[in-house]
Amino acid sequence: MTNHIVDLKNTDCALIMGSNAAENHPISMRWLLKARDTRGAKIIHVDPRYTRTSARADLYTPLRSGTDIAFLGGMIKYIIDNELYHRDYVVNYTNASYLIKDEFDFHDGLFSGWDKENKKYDVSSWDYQADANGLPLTDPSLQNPRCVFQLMKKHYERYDIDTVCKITGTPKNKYLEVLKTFCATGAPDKTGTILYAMGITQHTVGAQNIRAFAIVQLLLGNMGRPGGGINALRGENNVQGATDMALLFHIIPGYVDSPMNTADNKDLISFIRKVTPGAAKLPFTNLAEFRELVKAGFPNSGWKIHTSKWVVSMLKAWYGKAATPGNDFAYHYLPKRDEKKNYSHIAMFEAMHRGEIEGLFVNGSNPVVGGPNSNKEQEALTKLKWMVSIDLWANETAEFWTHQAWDRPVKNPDVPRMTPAEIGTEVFFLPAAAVYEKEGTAAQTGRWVQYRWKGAEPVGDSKSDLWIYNELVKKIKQKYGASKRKEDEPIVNMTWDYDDEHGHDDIMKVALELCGYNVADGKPVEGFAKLADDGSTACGCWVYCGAMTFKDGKNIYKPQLRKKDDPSGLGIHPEWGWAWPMNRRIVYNRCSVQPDGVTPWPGDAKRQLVKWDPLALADPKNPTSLGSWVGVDVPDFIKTTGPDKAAFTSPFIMRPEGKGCLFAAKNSLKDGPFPEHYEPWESPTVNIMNKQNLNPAVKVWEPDKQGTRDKYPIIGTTYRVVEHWQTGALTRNLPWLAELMPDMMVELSEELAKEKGIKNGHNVVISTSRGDVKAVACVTKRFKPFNINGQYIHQIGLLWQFGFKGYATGDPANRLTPHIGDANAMCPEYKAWLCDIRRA
Amino acid sequence: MRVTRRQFLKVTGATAASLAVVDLGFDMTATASAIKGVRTRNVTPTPTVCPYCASGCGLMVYSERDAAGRFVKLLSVQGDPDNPINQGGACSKGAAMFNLREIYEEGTGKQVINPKRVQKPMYRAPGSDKWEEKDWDWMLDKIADRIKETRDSSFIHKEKIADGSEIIVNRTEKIASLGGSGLDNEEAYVLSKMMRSLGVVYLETQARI
Repeated sequence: MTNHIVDLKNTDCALIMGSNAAENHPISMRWLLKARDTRGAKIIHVDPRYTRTSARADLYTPLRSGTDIAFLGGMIKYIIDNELYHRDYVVNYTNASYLIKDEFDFHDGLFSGWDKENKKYDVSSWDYQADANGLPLTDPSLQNPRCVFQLMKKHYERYDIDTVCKITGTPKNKYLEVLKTFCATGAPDKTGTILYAMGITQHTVGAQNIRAFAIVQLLLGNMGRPGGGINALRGENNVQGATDMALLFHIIPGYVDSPMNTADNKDLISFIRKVTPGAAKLPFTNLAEFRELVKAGFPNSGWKIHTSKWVVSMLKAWYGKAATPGNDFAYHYLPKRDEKKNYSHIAMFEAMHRGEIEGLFVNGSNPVVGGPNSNKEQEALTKLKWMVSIDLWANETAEFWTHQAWDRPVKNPDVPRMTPAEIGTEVFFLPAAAVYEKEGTAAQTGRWVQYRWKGAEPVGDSKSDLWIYNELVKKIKQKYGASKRKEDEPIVNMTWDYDDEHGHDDIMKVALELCGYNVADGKPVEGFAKLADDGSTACGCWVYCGAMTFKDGKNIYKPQLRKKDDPSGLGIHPEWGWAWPMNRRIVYNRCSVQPDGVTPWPGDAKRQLVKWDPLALADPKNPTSLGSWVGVDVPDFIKTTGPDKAAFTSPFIMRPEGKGCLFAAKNSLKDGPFPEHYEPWESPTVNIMNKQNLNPAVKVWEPDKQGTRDKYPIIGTTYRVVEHWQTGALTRNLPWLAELMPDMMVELSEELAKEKGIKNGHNVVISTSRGDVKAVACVTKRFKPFNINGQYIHQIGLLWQFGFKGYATGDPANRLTPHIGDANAMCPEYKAWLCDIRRA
Repeated sequence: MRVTRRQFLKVTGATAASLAVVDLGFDMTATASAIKGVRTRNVTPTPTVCPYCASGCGLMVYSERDAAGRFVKLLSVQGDPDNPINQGGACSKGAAMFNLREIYEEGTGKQVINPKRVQKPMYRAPGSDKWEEKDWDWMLDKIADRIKETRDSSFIHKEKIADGSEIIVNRTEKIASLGGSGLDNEEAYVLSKMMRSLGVVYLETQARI
């Protein structure tokens, strides 16, 4: 979330798309209802199915799964055509006025630079026109036909209301009502929030769906303001933290690209040049020279100009004394991934299925239920030599080798069946402690990092995951001993000193390293602005720097703070836990004040978060350091950037241009600078917006598994219920919850039920080109057939939270879903595929 | 550790949060005073955060402790009235958090550890159809062996790149790691550091899916 859960109370209008917030993030709904009660806020719900969220909304409208860009593209057009955009905001805080290279173009669903042979874009034309100093050319009048605003207007001209509704199946009058209601937040004294979840991301256009949100919110002036923002309702309690710590192949901690096996990654200085925006062509050959350039500042860099400090501090934290200025701070220890390979979830299982992976760690995860095309993913596990599963329960993945795991509801020659004797995988199951049987922090969806204390002992011999990793690494280090082999150096020299004086793992030692310490005295680094790239600071993940502070002779871990006060009344609660970055509760909050830095938006003084105060001290110890940003939230801005500096009106400090991007320049995305509608991989219709059916930049893993409409005429999607969580391992094993929601079900419309002779409660079989599952039919009015460009099309929805273990059992819906993912994030297309349904 | 009513109210924030909980049709102030001396004897409240969706609702774990402060048993897990996100509220999953550790046995009603929880490390040999209980040392030792065997036999230390030069790549593509979004930050951090130092590039968490 750019904002946070409590902030939802400050909104004037909420657009919930691709999320069943009332059911899956119930507390978010409570704050929205508060906004309605206290501010008269409107709640809009857009979803293929009428849900508990719709029931609480002021306005509900359906759309066909996988057509969000059409829906939002029409909204962008509506905002522009009716001049509902927040003009001052758009001109000053976005790249609307930036001129784009003449070579940039769009035809027949393809942006300029399409490389047909390699099926990818050359993005060099997706760039700004620049002056001799490399600074972008602009036209603040927004009239130049090459400016972003005009190009965007032209791009979305095709997204008229009739065309949109033909694609999405949304009733026209409802669509208009949504447009009118949400776009009213373009008024300077109004803000609107967008909430989304996996209904938006789990598509072959997932990242572009969110880009479309970004365009809408920037046009309406809703970013960086209370009650606004783009707010991902994330699904796992610490998925935010796991992302921050870079448990993802493409980044290292703190959102820096992970290094690859290419010349521009070959040593630390090449890597710094590559990952620091604006540094590509600068004259430097070593860190000392680079430091001077950073000190002086260089254009098109933004806050990421400091990347070298984050990288070197991380290396220092990981490799301690072995990381020296003389050896690139052991940069060469880091694994360099193959630039030609993808290592994401789907790719991992494809490689495993080909027998390329020997050993797998499963850390509280359950792909046999939750992975796309889970029949295939389960088969992939049989090709492993060994697998380690760390969990509270022996879940479906831990027991993929049992007889039970290979039961299927119908005989299907395309679906593998195996017996334990045929499966050679050695499996190690390590029992983990539950959340309240251990201690540590978690970052919730609004980036609040809160401490969880230990309230009970772990059951039996189960152990906290920290204990497990700590002991395991000690064993591994023992096995490598004092090896002098070059390839063993990363293990031998990795710092691993987390034991207290009694030999128990000490979480505060981990926390200190994660948040950063000064190498000289071991005291916490008080914020990432104080990190250095000379080896004097160590910090595991720079975005957490500042969470540990030294006060009154001891270290204070701020996530433990429990002071409820809310001086601003905006729900900021600055001393409840800690939020990254730097305890900032709403990011881009420079946008909550007019370009002059002082005046609130007309009529909106109460929601101003920060301001420029020419008399405030930037440095409390220096009486001459006059002029600083101050406010009720921690300013998301360089404190000393005053009106004399060009960056004064550039609130998006993580971007090289400092502006919100209506046009995503250069290599920001793989599939285009503007979101464009493409059909899901498995679609019941053809794309009427352009000549490409599927997002051209998507990798198709299994072309032979594409289901077609003649055989599979119904759209399938998956979802969750409040009683169960994710794959159900953590809920189907709890008697109270298993009793509340005991069965695997599929929801279908009365119309489809009638066609198929299915009644409520019947056992049915749902099939796709990848498998079959059995479920209990739940016939409701909540799904309605769609009219898609004159075609009558059904959609059904399955719970994906069932498996063969636990008190409540059923078939995993993901035996049906495809192995295909988004062009950028590789998030699987769980939410739109083709199937058929029949009575069992 | 004995907890006085005053301490109990202080920790649970029952007084200050009464307005919010009254909203839910439940007056915590009245309840707190009515249950004093009965429900609060030997009760230790410990704040935690829900392990389900990422909203970050606070939960309070109430446990019984012996005179030395050692954990005896779970009493209940409820919404933390102090937490500004949920102000004491809990959805059905949050309200069932007690079951994560303990259940009331069917038939007898006895409070027991949830029998589905695995309490011992378990090993499944290749081709076997059953688990065998093992101790931690045996397990960790074997796993460390497997990691070393696989890593050492598949490790790519240097690689020739497009321009003909050689660079150090220090990776193995034969070990993969999945998951971790249910871990605490400190755990996720050491996992990330451990995997990368082993040279693992197939490193993925639930954020991807």
